[in-house]
Amino acid sequence: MNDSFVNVENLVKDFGRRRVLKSISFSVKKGEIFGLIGPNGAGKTTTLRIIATLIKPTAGDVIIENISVTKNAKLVREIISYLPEEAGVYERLTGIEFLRFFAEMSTSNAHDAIRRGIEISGLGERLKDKTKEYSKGMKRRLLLARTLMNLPKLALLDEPTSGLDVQHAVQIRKIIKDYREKYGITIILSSHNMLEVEYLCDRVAFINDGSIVSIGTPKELLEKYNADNLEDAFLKAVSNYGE
Amino acid sequence: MVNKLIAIIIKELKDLFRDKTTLFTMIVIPLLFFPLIGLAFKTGAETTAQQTLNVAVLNLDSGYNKTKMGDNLIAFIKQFNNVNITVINNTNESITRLSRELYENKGINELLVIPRNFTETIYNPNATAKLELYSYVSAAGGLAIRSLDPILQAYISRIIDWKIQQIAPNVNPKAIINPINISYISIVREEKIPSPPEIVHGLIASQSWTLPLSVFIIIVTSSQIVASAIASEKESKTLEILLSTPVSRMNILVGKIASSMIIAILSVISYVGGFTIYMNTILGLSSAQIPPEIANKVTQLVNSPQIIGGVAVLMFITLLTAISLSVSLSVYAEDVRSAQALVSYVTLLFGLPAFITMGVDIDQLPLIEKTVLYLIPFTHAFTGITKLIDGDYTPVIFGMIYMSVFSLITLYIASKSFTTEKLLTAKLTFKRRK
Repeated sequence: MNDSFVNVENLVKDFGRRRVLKSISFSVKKGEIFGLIGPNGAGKTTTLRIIATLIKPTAGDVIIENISVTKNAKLVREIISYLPEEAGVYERLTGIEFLRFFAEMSTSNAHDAIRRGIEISGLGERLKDKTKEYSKGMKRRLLLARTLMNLPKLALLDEPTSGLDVQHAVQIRKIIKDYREKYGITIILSSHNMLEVEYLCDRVAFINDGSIVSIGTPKELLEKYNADNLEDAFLKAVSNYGE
Repeated sequence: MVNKLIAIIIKELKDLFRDKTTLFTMIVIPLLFFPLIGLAFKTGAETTAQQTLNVAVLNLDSGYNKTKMGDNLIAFIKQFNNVNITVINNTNESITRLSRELYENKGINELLVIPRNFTETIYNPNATAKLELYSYVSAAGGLAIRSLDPILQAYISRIIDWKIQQIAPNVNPKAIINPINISYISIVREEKIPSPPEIVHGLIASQSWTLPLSVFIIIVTSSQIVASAIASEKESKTLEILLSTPVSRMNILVGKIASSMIIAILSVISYVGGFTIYMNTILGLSSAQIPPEIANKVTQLVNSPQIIGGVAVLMFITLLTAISLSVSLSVYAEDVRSAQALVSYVTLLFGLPAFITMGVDIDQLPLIEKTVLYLIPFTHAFTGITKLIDGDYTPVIFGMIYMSVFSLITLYIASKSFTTEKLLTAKLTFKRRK
């Protein structure tokens, strides 16, 4: 018996003739922030989409708290929350209407979820404005609030700070870290920002061309590849992997 | 389950109602469009009726036996209201130059020339008198709406009566001119209308020609709304968020269809409201030429509760068909632009019967053409309207069943597509390749 909360088992995904995931496996412990690190097209988003029950794997499975995403997607959706990369919002709804709508979709206790959403977003009175009037950073905070407000057991964050300026990116990272510490939820995030990964993740998996190249804590990976930073470690891991 | 569905419908309606373009094109325009057309027709007709007829008469008639029929004709013209007549007894100018000068200096574009032998030929039982009516045609000014011609025709009738009485004083000239009188009776369903068929058909057509056009517009706009609703969620990735929540995909699909139907039904109400105002305006005009009792009888027949109820059911099923088809198609589109293009192509193709029914009776076409057209579900919507007016309910019911079955099949395909990853991975695009 292992103490893993999420088990990704030999995941394969083909889009037509193109194999985008080549039998990847990893596990995530309860309460852990796990990072999927890799360049664009490596397979990070596809992995997250499979875990989020949006697409089905060609082979393999993901087990979350003993529930299979392929066999019982409906139950999985009760315990996860997914934030897609560069997701938009309903531009003609206000921030509060947006939170209310998704609270009603996700939980039976919408009132508490909305209250938490308001707190996480930090948007205050601006929540009464239509979201089309929000800056990109504000929209991302609203989306993150939406993802975390219903206390999911597993949050899936695809490039949570992608396209944001430094100030907004720092705010988002702080929210993620504080929220995990406060509620102890498990988070899988994808990123190609190594600084972000070092700051947030307990463990990371280097993913390249649909394969997991290496897994470990940031410290372990730096030591393993004798690198000064994760970027350097990733490059060494990728070059060693093919040899 | 139901709460989630209601939440989706409310969210969709908020989203749609806050879109000023949707609100304007589907609700406001129909309410303004038809009444404005009616008002334009009415104003045009009233202006024509009240327009002063400016004519010039060049009277060259030298008379016969101390009688001058030229003067008699001028006196006849002057009896009519709003006629401003300029009499010229002689001119050294050519007719063309005179016509141009009259038009440019006095705004007169009709010149009647009464020749020298006018009275003499009228008195001659074996001759035909001649008049020349010159109309000055200007590209800028156009043709006069009100013409002298009807007045001249009335004068000719009077001369015919007079000539007959000269030859045979004891006969009724009307009996000579019209020895046989035909009574025209049109039958609509089982109602007798004492009027020629072209007038009755014209009245029915004037009340039913806009309906296929309205149905077509509603099909296109409601299809665009639902296609955009799904594609915009796909494009902004809110659909991914929604699909990862514990709400059933069928709820999402039904929510989108239901909200689009609500908007489309409001649009239908707006169209019907605007159309009713239009009809009331136009009816006032037709009664000027057609006896009001006939116009009212036709209107009552066309606007009977059975027909209005039938049209409402037909519209509802047509909308459901259009929306379910659009949902199925938009699943495969990558973004809003592609979805709108895809839906436009298909609805335009499927809307073809609308234009055909406006000019041709589909049932009179050869079997192959007729079958192909009737395979298109929307054909039944367009032909159904005229069949309802004719009281021919069986093909209308068959058409409704056919469209319902088609809707159910497309909805089934849409629901299946909604539960597969095609919803997120299908990338049918109509963008121009760079």
